Amino acid sequence: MVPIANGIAFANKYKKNDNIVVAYLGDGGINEGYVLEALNLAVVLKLPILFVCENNLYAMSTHVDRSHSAPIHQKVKAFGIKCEVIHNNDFIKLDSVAKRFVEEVRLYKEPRFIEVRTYRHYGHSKNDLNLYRDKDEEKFWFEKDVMKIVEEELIKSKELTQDDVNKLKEEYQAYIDSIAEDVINLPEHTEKDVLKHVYAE
Amino acid sequence: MMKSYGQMIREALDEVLNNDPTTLIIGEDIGIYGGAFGITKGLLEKYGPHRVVDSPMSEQAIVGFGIGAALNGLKPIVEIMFMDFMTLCYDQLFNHACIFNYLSNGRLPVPLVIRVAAGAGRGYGATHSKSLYAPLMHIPCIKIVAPSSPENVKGLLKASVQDKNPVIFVEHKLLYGVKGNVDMAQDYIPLGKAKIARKGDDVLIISYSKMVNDCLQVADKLDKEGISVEVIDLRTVKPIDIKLIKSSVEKIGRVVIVDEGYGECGVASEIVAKINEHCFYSLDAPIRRVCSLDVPIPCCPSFEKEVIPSCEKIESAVRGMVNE
Repeated sequence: MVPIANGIAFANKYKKNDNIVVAYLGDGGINEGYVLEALNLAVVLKLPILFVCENNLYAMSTHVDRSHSAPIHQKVKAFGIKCEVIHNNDFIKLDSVAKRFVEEVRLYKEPRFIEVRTYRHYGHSKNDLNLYRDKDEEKFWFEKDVMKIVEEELIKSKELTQDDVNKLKEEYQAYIDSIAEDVINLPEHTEKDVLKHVYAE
Repeated sequence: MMKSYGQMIREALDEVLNNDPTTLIIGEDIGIYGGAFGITKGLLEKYGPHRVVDSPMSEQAIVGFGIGAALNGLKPIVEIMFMDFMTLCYDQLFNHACIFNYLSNGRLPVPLVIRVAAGAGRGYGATHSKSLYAPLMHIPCIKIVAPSSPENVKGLLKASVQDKNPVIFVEHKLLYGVKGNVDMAQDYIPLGKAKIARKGDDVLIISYSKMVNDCLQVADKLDKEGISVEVIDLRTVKPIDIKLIKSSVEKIGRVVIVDEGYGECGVASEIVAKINEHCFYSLDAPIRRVCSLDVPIPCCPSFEKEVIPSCEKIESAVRGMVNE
């Protein structure tokens, strides 16, 4: 999908509409040949696109240390892309870097890259028992869970009270539940539609 | 007026770039160099580097780029230099280009054209000569076009650009210099429609791209001996115009399929299967195929000639059919 994001960014630049693309990818994906092709192309064609790599340390079971020849940000810099690294789910720094990069991408019409060092708390899929990583590591990152540290920070800085947080959580949970219910209540597809939209007319 | 296949492609590109500001072309060496076969010569100077985009050697990235640009309101025409290099972009085609319209319930069409040169006969060797239609036929929701002449190449290309689906437009490198009278050439030729290139009664040949010309030569020769050959030019390889094929099979009953691709799971195999499904009982004899031999395409001229279909092989297949 990274090459496709480039095309969307090119079309925005072509139409001079000032929109930018934010493309999310993972630490595993960086090792795909097409991603490397796409990073190069984004620089060569000066595309307004912000790449955000969620480096959660694992591509399924494979740790970045076992799959990358060099740190991701170093590789990205080698392409000539300005890149920042965010450590330990530091969302305050991420917020300021993201805002600055969004402005720069829009202004200079060229790519930027953020490598966010984060973590995948649970397995890659429901069948994944996480047997390839140690419990201390999982514990360390649970302490740094973004939901947890955002909440703590907002309360500490007196932006919100614990009551506000609880209320917000309830509101959002209700909102999510209502969407889920809407989707579940959508009419089932019927077999007669299975060959609809094979070709666009 | 006589014009070449290559000239007609260039005219079509020039016209669509001129008439539709959402069109652009991207590919390797298409700008300053003018394309490996000189097809895009002059277009960079005329339309500028934002519409005639020289790309790095990154087939996957530029096909993906085309998909994204198409999703965001443009009509990109991507050039892949040789059909052999389409293998580099299968992920973009199999997993991305073909899924958006169907999975979005028709909300995200991908009006993308990929121009690519196929075919052997010039000694370009194993990595620059293949006719890889068959793997691409395995992709749902795309179209594959295979123009056979200066008369139909422009109309088919303009229709491909107008189409809202991913279209792989396969040019034959031996046809680029071939000239024909284009006075009667249609400006748009609908995709998915085959054409009877020559009417006949005794044997039906179904073919596409450059091989249609070889089939017509054979038909001319055999006509003098009283063997009447009908030739269908598929023009669009996917979706195949089974309606026209069926009507000719029902009339003639003897079928030879001439396909420059490999025989194994090829375009010809698919046509055989479709004839079986639609009009098996109209056949008077088993269908014969003339395809490339199942080996890498050699550089060596005598070997290359032996590997790909030729007039001699087509003639022998047709004669065998008559005697059956």
